[in-house]
Amino acid sequence: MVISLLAVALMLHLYLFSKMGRAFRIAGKEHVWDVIVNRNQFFFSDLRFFPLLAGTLTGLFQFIPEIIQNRLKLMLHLPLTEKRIITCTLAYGSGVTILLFLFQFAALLTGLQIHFANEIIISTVYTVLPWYLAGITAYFLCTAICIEPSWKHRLVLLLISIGLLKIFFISGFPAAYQKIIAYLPLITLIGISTVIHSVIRFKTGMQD
Amino acid sequence: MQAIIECQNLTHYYGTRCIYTNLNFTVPKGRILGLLGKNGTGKTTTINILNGFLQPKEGNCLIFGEPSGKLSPEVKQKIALLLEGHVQYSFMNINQIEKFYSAFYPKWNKTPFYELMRKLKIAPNQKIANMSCGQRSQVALGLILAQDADLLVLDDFSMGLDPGYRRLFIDYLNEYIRSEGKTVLVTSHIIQDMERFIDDCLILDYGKILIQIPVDELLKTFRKFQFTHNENHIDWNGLDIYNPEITRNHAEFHAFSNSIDIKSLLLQSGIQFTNLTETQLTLEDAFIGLTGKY
Amino acid sequence: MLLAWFLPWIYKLITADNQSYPFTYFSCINKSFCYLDMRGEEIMRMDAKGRVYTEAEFDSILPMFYYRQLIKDDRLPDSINNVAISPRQISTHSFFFRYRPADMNTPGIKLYPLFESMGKRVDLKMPGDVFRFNNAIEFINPENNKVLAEKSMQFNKPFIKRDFAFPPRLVAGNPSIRKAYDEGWFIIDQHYRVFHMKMVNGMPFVKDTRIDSSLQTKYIATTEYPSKLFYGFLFDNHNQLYVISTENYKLIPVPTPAFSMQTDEMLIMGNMFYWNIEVTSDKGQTTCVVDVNTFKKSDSISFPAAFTGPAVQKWIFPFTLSFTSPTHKYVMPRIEVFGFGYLISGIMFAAVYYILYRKKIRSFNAFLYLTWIALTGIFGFISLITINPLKQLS
Repeated sequence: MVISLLAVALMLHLYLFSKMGRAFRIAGKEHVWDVIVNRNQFFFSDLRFFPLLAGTLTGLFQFIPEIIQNRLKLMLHLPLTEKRIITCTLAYGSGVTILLFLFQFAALLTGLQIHFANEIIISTVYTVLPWYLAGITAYFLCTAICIEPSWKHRLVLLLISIGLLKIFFISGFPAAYQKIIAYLPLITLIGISTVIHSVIRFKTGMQD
Repeated sequence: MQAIIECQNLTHYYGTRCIYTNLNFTVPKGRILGLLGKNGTGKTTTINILNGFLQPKEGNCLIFGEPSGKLSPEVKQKIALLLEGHVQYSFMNINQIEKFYSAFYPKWNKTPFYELMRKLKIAPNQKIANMSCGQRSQVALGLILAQDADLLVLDDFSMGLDPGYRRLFIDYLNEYIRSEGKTVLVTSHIIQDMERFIDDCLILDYGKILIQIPVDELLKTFRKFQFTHNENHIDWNGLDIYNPEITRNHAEFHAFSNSIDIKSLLLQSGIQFTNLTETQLTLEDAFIGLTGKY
Repeated sequence: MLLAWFLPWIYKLITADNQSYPFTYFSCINKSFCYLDMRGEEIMRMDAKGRVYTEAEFDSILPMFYYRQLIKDDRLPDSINNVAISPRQISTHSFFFRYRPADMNTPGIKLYPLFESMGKRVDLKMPGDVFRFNNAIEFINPENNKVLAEKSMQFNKPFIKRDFAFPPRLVAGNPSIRKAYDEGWFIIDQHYRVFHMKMVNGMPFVKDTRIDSSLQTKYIATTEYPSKLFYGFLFDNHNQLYVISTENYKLIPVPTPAFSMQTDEMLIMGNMFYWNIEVTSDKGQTTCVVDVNTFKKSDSISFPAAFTGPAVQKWIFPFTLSFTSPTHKYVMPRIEVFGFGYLISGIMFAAVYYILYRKKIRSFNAFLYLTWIALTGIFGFISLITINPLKQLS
């Protein structure tokens, strides 16, 4: 699963940079710079929903088997504190996701470094960072929905998740999140707290 | 004797549906307790509470002196869990799963696990996902043996197993438990299996415990009585008997008694009878005798 | 919190109506405001005195706006107000300038092109490099993403000579080759001194405009209009508008209707006689007219914001949360509070909740829930209905 996501990330990356390369050849670098700087064009919009998808899929792939096969009980019975079990599991899943994102982000940065001035790179970072945060948050929210024992609550959680994740995608304008980027991880924290909420409900055997 | 499991005043509802109120029982050290009951009497609920995946509305349940919902890692190490349906990490193979679990348990002893696998001719690199239900049950069993826990909680171990595997499972477990003095709590749909296995049985009825009693005592003292009679109606009220039944002129009931006492009991209550017979019961018959057929 | 964002959004979606105002233009013929009102069923053409015009009449009383139509109909007069006019003259002096608060509040990439202002060709050409300011001016070649050291040095010298305080607060210009000519960039330094920079025959031209730094200039729009009478518009710290005249950067204050740069839009429609200065705020739209020779206000007209039905929001929502705003390109949470009117609906929601769950409301907790609903109104109501803690209390 991780490998296929990695492959998709790579393909997306190749696609984006070949698209950019073509723009460079056809219109010239100066024109591309002009379009980015003065016409607020963003070259990596295709990247927008990839982290969201990756985070969601990681969450689903990690937890749906646990839930369907009822293995969560097995896991929680391992002789560790529940806190540690949950932390380890989440750290593993989110770690994989973050690693994937870091890899992609680093590749993006290296590519940018060659072709663009710092100002453009910073603007790009401000633009894509909320998307990656959305991916990480999506992972946690997905996990919370999976672990949540009752369907009714899952639905409520799903609606809340959609609302929370929408915040990351309100504006596609380059660097629109510049002023609140430092506060966006709070939404990720809310995501983590919903997982804890779900685990507690699972442990107490809530059915509605 | 030290109580390994101690449940006090357990009360649980799902929504407004009452499962039971004020349930009390203990499992002493070294005993094998079978939790019996018809569907819907709260077997699974009790197991869930014991495993810490359900918080009862009231009352508490202590395992090794700790509340079951908040067990410390040390106590968890002393408990082996067999989940309904022999749930395991099926993406691993025999070797991997053994290695995986060994990291968690200091007393881990892989010999019985591999011995059992060898007996069953399961290759060490076989994935659990590709195994039959019976084989999976043996893997789960092997893991429990290797864990060398002090308390075993086995939820419906016989589910989906053919008689051969059931027999194998029980024999293997029996030998192990008896020699090591383990404490066990077990549920099963197939009561026949339990007879050869458990020391005590705890029978749940809707909303309460019907009885908790050593199996041999139950089998020794609980009997079925049958007689013929001529009346259309028998007033059983006030008699300490279980599940009386009348079909035409044939009457049948169960009681903790013997034919001599029953004879006098029937005479006392003025019930006409002839051909009183007394039958010894198997555990399954006794279970039905206690709980009724429906 | 999410509900505070979501519900008002849905409410706005349902009750969507955008404010619209008549198009207003001052007639140089009958010296009064004329307006074209499309808000009703029929298009109305009127002047401030209430006279109604036909389309052709309307064209002729607003020759500065409809001159193309008049030329086509061959009705353009030779002179107006004893001033001889020609189509060329009209078009040279006509301009439209629009300011939106979002112009100030937009994330931008601070790289700018510097065009050759005295090019030999009629059309402007991209310069082949861009410049940035940090603690010096620096030119970068996009082709290899490297700093052009020599050019940077060359342009940095005049800035140092004139004591420019880096980095600039604002760099204002039109980074486009679709303009009649190039006047380069107006640059405000840390001490609110305003500099003018352009490139003439490949050489730097950097001039201290000596515009009063105590104005604490907030915003400059370089205009590059065909008339070449002024370099651009300037807003000072008190929302006062000026034009920067091409005569030695003299600032001429321009009277405007009440205006705030943070919230209001401004549209200036200029012609050879008058400037129509239109300010739109949430209270309404006011247009004033300024004589181009004296820069004195001679008339003004206002349209209050249309009444948008009863402000339901005020009664239902304790507060609303939104992340976007028409005056900002930045995404930011903005909470709007309407006062205590919502408490009435809050108590009503609490009553509904009580009726729905009256059988289960016995404990003190339940009383707390009712208070909570009363205080948080619809948000608390919906969240309690969905989470439904009373069900478990039973």
